[in-house]
Amino acid sequence: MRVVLGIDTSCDDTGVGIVDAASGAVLANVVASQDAVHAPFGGVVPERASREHLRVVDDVARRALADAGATLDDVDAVAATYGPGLVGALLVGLSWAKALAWARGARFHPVHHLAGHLASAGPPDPDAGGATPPELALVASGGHTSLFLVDGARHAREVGRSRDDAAGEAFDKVARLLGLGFPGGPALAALARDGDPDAVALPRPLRGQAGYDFSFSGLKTAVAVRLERDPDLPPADLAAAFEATVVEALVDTLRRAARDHGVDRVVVVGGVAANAHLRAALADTGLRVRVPPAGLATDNGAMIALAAWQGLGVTADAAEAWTRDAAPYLPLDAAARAAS
Amino acid sequence: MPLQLGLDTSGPHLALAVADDAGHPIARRTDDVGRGHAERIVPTLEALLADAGAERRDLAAVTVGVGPGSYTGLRVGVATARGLALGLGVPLGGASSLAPVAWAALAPGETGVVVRDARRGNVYAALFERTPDGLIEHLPARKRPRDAVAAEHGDARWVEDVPPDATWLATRPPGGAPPEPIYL
Repeated sequence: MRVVLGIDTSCDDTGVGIVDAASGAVLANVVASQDAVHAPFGGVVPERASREHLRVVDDVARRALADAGATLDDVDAVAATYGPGLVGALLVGLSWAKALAWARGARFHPVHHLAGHLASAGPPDPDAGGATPPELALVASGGHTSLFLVDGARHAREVGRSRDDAAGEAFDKVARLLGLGFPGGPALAALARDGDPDAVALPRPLRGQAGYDFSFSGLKTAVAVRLERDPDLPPADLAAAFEATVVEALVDTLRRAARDHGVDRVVVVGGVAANAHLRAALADTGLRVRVPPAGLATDNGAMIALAAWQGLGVTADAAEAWTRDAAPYLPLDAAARAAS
Repeated sequence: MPLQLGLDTSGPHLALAVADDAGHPIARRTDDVGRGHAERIVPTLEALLADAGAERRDLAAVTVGVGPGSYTGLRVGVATARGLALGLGVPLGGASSLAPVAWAALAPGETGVVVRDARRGNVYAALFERTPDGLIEHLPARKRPRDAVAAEHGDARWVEDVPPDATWLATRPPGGAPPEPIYL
């Protein structure tokens, strides 16, 4: 057996995944959550995230190899996120992965975090002629909300992005307003199930824009203002109205971008892709929608191994790969131009 | 030829050295890399092994400087050491990052206070004596006001901004407790 080991330490979870180098199948995907470390602070504390990655990285890798039924002797290549993300956290995974790859005589692939998300749902099915069709890719997570046009050569060009908070970040912040703790995104979605989205009117962000950007900060503020004015509002109704507004903004923009770019295939990745309301709304668009399998939507190491395996944004210059530094701010299309 | 690797990235230098299993220094590199540790570490490691006429499979133990020093630098060093030890299947240990500086700066019989700037008027400081056989750490590293350290150790040699010699790390007994960065 030959495998690719991938690691992501871009934010607050330590993820190591193992992908079969022959088939591209995900053999293991272990994510050590740091939620308990950061919960008392109501958000991710970068210094603590870095320390925690360093503390657990060996154990997470050992568990992933054991889950895959593989050993270090089977590791053909090691892939690590080099950006964007928290610089101290990135440096732990990047340095560890380079050293592991070098020690094993394996190849090393620095991977852009968003290339990992794009890879998480696999490549699109070939069209009737056997070519890879273009598609729109929506990355919606706690750290990113961007819309990419991905061409047949799998080159991504950003066509829209959040001007302020990421979609997942907005979920977490509104969850905190409602006293749901951190990270509250999933708890907010659970609460919204029992609420009436039409009971509370919230402003729809960037309504009428010609472009494909997103904005969630004003929506969060609108929820805060409503809560302050009317503390007795049923939290479930507020949660449902908020969730419905976010889903509407994401899906409407995606649908409009698909029409304008003449594509009928979309892939939706990142932690928010796990949201049940979003998935239902996507299914109603008539677009051909792919989402990542369970466990690959939120940050993880398997998607980094998958990106390396699919060759997404991978540099051909092996010597340069060994000298790659962490890049905390790094647009995906700028990274792709630098690599080509 | 089994070799032990010593590695320190806690300051502006990337310090690497290898010693044989009898504790004899074989090769070392001390490059001023500023904040470029993550970029330079693998090429420098390869250059070090070339200097030593050795291969990566000759590395039989790794000892890393655990600080005190730059948190970011420490993370690069300790994460690298962990990846190397896991990948090579060899023992991993940690030791003070100020000791390699003392080793580089002090002559046998000399006592020195090794200090490293810790910002806001503070320094990391430790007191070392170089003996014919090695180093004695009389006071372990602490973070203290620069003036207080100067007043307290006026009789010892003041050692600051001296590049470390990772040979000291490469000649520690291999293994020990897993290296934990010292965050002072």
